[in-house]
Amino acid sequence: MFINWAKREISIKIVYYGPGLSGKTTNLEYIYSKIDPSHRGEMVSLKTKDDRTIFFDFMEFKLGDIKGKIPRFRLYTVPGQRFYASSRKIILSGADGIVFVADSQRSRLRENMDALLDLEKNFIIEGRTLANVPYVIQYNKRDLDQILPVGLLQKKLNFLDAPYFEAVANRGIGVVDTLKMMIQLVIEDIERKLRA
Amino acid sequence: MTQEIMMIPMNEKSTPEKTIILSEEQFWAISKLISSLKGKLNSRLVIFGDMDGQLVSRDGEIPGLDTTVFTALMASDFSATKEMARIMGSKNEFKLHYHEGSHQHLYIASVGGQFFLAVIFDPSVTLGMVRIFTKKTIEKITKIIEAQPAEEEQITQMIDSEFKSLVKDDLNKILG
Repeated sequence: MFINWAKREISIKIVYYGPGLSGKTTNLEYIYSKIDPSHRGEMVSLKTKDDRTIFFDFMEFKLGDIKGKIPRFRLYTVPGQRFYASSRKIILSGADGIVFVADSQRSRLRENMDALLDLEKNFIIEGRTLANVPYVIQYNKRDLDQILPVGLLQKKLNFLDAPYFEAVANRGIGVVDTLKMMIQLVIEDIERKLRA
Repeated sequence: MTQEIMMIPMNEKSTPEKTIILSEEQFWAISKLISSLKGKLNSRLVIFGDMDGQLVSRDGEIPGLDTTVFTALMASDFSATKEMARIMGSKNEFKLHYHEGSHQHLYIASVGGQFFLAVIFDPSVTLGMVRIFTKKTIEKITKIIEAQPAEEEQITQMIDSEFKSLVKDDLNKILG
């Protein structure tokens, strides 16, 4: 979190994490398409020639004046492929909240679990743990045939009982609800820390 | 094969994420130094950002260049090379980056490891000049950041009890 008192800005960093091809970039692309250009900047995607995220996707949007303050939200995705471990660690630094985008397909369960372990491992390196970070799970690709029931995904992945959403990100289903919940949790977290 | 996942238990003592607060005095003092540096180097754009990719202050603009995105990219550039330094076995991160273009160059230097200062300048200005003036500016900015720690109470003034519901309303307007 970054507070610029002179500009009355509070800037929050949200990172979309998850295995390769789970739909993290698709989430950001949909959000980008929904927000009026007056409230957002450009979206940048660092991709390979095969259209896979090599470093990160990034976009920022801001809300209007809220009692003289301007909340800004910086959204990042991490590259999901296993060999981009260093990139994921870098992007995770300073994250105020995490959206874990899981691939609902039966064949991708192991990748989801590995990505979750990778996330926690990177938090531990930073001296943090997922249990203390605002965190939402999105079960994406619910429109496909070979998917696992949500109950099973919950059992396998959601051991912290985080809020979760079913999604079909390429049609925008569940994307906005996930983001709204994420932002709500981040603000609650800030409020909680203020009271502490 | 059963697939189960185990995570470490909640650790109340885990370090919370970083919160950087810049007071009004700090912001204006830094902005003044940035403008001064821009003038001395006849630069088109000077940016002061944090290592998490947040644009803090800038002077100048380049048509078509989104400074927010540019700042995020520069921060990532720093982070990536920090990782490279680690892999190379270096204990210290690289303190500056220099990218030479055909019409304009980019010089980025770390400010205390938490921030960076970036200067876009044209080939008529020597790299030596950029290094000297940037170094002096960094020394002054470092003093400003260290000398005036922002007060914690400013956060409570920034986020009051109504904040969450107002943000929710505005998000509904923007995202539907």
